[in-house]
Amino acid sequence: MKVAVIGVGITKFGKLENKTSRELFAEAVEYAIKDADISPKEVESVYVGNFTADLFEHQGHIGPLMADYAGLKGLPATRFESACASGAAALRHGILSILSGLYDIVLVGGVEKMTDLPTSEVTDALSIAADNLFEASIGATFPGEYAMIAKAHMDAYGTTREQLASVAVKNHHNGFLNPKAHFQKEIDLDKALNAPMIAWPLGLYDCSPISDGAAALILAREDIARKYTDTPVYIIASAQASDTVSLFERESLTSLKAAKIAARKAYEMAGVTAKQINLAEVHDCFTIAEIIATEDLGFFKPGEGGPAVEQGLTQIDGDIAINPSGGLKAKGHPVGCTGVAQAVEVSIQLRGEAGKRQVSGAEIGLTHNIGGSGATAIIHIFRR
Amino acid sequence: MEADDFSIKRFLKYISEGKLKGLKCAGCGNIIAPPRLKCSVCGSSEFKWVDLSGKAHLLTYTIIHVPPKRFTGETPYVVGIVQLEEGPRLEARITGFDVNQHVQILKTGMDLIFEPSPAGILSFKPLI
Ligand SMILES: [Zn+2]
Repeated sequence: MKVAVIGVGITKFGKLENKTSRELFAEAVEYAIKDADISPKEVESVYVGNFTADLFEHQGHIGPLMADYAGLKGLPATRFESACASGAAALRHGILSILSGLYDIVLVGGVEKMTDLPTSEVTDALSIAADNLFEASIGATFPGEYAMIAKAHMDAYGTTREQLASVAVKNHHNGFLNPKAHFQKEIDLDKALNAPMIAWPLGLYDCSPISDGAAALILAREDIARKYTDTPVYIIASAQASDTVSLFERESLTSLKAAKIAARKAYEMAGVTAKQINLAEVHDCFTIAEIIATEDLGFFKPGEGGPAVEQGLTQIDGDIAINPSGGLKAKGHPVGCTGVAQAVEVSIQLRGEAGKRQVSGAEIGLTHNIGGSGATAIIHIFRR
Repeated sequence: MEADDFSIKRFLKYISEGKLKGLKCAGCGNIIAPPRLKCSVCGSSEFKWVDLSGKAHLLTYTIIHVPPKRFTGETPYVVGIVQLEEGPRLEARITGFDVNQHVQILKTGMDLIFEPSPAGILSFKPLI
């Protein structure tokens, strides 16, 4: 399979008080359309990733609303919800619509406006990604689910809080190099380790922030891509898998089975191995999630993800660059936008336009977007 | 009829009444909790409710410091994943000890026992 990314756009991430989701979305789309150098009239369909504007903004019916404000009124426009993997779900369906032969050019966007609510209500809203009857009802939170994964990983492999903190330090460094990132400041290990607890053993710096933001991609049929750009980025695999929404019913607490299945399918589809991947934007909603992602994707053996980040193997100039954008941790995690933002970063990197955070000689990149505590996993592979 | 109601709501109602019950599959004897429409082992949908022993062991846990809105005022509290003696796993509150001593008291694999909670929240306490 091949579909081309011919345009990308992304807003600044952060607490953007004066902007609503529709304004953020329209801004990202404007950047993407300009980047692709196309007329909005050439776009045939719109796919919107959004987790829960319903709870964050008391707003449903996001598909047509976003399309209208982005100047794309009249087109088919649908919102995709798969918790934190909503963005990649929208991307996957944009890809499928082109592969079906129905469309030549489509727009995929992701958006979330989270900061209108106080933290306790955001925590409530995010907890609907877990099993409401058996998890949220007993007082489990989303950080709590990943904290239990972290505790299990520590018991099984000796993973340490210092190794978790190393993920935060690395991603803050990368975010410092990314002008669109929510956080543009470096932190050290002590600061991460001494932060207040959110859900033991995860502290504040183990958690991605509550962010606003939007991102957009223009996708085109492979054979027409070069009419629009000299630097098309090709999507060579799209794979998705699911698992129980509840964490307690999973086979493993130290690995996400859905991510492993999606990774195997994606590598097969792309005809590449984990060793050939130059950079990956992975779903580090919590520091432990990045460590497990690098194991599930086959970059490191189970239990070796912690030592790998501690030894610097996942830095921008390391063996494999993990989250050169700063990841969810430092770039920010506007939930339903994240999967699209990851694809934007990989596209920029493969074009060689990432500036100070450029992974040198990047040929093949991967995105890994997870919903909830692992019930949805969506992986895409890109080649320049 | 209560005895024929193999629903999730009935399971949760038993817990709120201080009873931990599961479904026993008539086909293969597998114990199912929380309820599902079919046995995951043999596919049968013939069940009966049985009392579970309440004995379990601890698989992993966390201390919640930032709670959802409705649990404000209860922090810090412990949420864990437990494996029942009969096989099924559940997520539950771990109660009945000083949370500040969790590192000394809670050990992965340790024995726990079902503890009826006034609020109807599924809870287990360490057997120490
Ligand atoms: Zn059975």
